[in-house]
Amino acid sequence: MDHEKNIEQQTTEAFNRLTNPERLKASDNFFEKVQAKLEDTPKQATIYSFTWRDTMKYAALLAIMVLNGILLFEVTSSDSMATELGEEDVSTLVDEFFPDYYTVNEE
Amino acid sequence: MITAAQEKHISIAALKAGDTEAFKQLVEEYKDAVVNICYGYVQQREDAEDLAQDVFVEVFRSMDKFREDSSIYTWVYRIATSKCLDALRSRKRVKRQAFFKARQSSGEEAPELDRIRGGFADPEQDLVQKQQQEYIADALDKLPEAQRIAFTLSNYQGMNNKDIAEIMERSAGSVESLIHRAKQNLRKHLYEFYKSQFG
Repeated sequence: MDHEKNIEQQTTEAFNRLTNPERLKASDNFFEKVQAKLEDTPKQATIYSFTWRDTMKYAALLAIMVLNGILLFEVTSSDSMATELGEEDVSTLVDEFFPDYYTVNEE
Repeated sequence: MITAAQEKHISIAALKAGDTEAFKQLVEEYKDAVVNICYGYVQQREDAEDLAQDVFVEVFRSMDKFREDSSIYTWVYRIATSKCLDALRSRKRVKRQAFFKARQSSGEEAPELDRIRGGFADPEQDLVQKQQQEYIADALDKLPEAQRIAFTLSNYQGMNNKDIAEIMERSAGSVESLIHRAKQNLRKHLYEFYKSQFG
């Protein structure tokens, strides 16, 4: 019972302190500190003020896009070459195994 | 609390133009209020002052975004609340126990206890007060965000429900309910902390 009473008492004290906080006052040189921070804080980036890190980031992105483009070009080019070769192979196979193929079609 | 008459003396056009005198006037009018709001969140005097300075830096930087559909008062308090919540989120990454232990082991007292220390020469009493401060901070941290905002503006700034409702873009009834539930939850959390301590 004493335990519970003690807990309640501590809780009430803490709650009273919480709900009746001290009213603070800003320091006398508060505005000067704000001004100092304004001078220290970097201004927001504009299109003309890229940092080195931003430049590297976008350069890497551009390089990846260019590589992707080259890769795509290579893949599509090799596909068309493979098609031409394929057609030759098919003609050879037709001549070898179906010699009468063209004669039949002509009829 | 800032009155409408006081606010009329602050030129919005001058603020938007980046006029230093107008900005200084704004800072002088609102600095105490913003420090107290920040204190409601961070529970440390030095941190509250530092955070309040960051609030005004943000106010200055985003002055061109002020749409004048609300009062400057509402707008400044919204920025303050947003900055405070950001600070709390980043602070939660640092364990609170480690934070308090580090300050205790370095011999550095929590500044807000300076006013209490004068009345208590007893180290045990100091420890009790420090623990109480820690429990208060933890109980506030446990509150849902909306309850915390409403409670802080009401308790640390003495705002009425109508003004809080404007800042939070809710009804006054909703704000009243949030504050009531916040107090219930705070009391419950504090009870749980003390119960776990005393067994």
